[in-house]
Amino acid sequence: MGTEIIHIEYYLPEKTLTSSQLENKFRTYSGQNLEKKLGIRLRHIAGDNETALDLAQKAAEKIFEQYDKNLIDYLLLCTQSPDYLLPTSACILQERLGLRTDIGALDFSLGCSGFIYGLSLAKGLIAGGIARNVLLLTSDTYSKHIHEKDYSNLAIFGDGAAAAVVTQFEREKIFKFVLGTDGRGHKNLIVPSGGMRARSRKDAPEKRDVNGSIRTDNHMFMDGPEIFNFTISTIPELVDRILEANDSGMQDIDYVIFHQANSYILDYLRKKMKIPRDKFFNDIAETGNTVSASIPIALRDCLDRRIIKAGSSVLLVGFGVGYSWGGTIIEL
Amino acid sequence: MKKQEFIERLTDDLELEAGALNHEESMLKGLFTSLGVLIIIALCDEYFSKEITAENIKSITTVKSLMEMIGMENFHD
Repeated sequence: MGTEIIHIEYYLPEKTLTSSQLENKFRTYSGQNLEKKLGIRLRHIAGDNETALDLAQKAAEKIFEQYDKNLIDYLLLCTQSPDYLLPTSACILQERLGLRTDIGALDFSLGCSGFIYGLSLAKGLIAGGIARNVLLLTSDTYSKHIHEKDYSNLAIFGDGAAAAVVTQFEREKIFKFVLGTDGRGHKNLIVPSGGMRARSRKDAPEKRDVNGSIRTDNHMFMDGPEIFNFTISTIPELVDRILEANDSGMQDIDYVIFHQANSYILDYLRKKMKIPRDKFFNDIAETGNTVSASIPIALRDCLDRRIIKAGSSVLLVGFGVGYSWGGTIIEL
Repeated sequence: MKKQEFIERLTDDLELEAGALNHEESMLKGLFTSLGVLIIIALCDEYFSKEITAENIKSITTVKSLMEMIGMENFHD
């Protein structure tokens, strides 16, 4: 007995922020250059009263238009923008979605590696006989962590949610995982205040970086160069290890989907690993970097555009905040 | 790599006007946007397998100082 992904849907908030709007707001930057280099024309931004939980609910409801929600016996929600410190958002979603009460539900906090880890947990729950049909939700609203004058991060991140159902199948279609963690990088992508280590402060001083972006310790900080160094030093080896673990070579893979960080990084990684352009997804023009939702959003888009189809072998790779990374191969 | 080739590649990758960097003493400080920093990191990784940190980049002043950071043994006339 194995596992497979049987449904993938996503939801993006209605409000958008275009690169041209960013250019108008921060006159020193070029919207055209943003589109050309980062590959992002617009990002979807959650409304003031719209949270990651709300987005996840909408993504899940799309699935339940075609799948019986009473079959769900475990709910996993990956988010770093929970409604409350407690209770866990997954419990609230159980009620909002009208799921059975005899099911497991929990949140886990990861960023851009979240979908990969969620898949590994869902596979483990099913293999262990704990669940049969896992609803995996990945949803984040990083816009709420970013200072309104932090142009650099506003340009990159977009809000969004994705939902997938992982279920039992007669053979395995979610293959072996390779995972990795290195907490030495935790300070390079962080919201320093707001947790128990350092409470958020109303009088937190503003800091301006060399590019003119402003933030406080209550907001997200990303050391872009260090994240890039981590990515280019870790991901090529990760891909090799995923292929090796699954007794495969790149020639056995129909399509490759990495976490959609930004087009520049993706294109550099693709060239470094000599992955053919025609089997590598690089498109965040209409979403921006949607953190843990980016891989399932890409999967849905690839299915809709018939870039991949039933039976396709797809290499998935996630990487980011933590540092945390991982990947696997799935068959659709 | 030939020093001149490096300067031309740097000019190209940073999308500077032709001739903006015309010799080793040309100033780089102030030319780096946040994306420009990534471009320098990528260039050093791709051609020299050299990791340049954000801290390293802060200390770069001229083309020559970047070349010294990469290692002058990697360049010739």
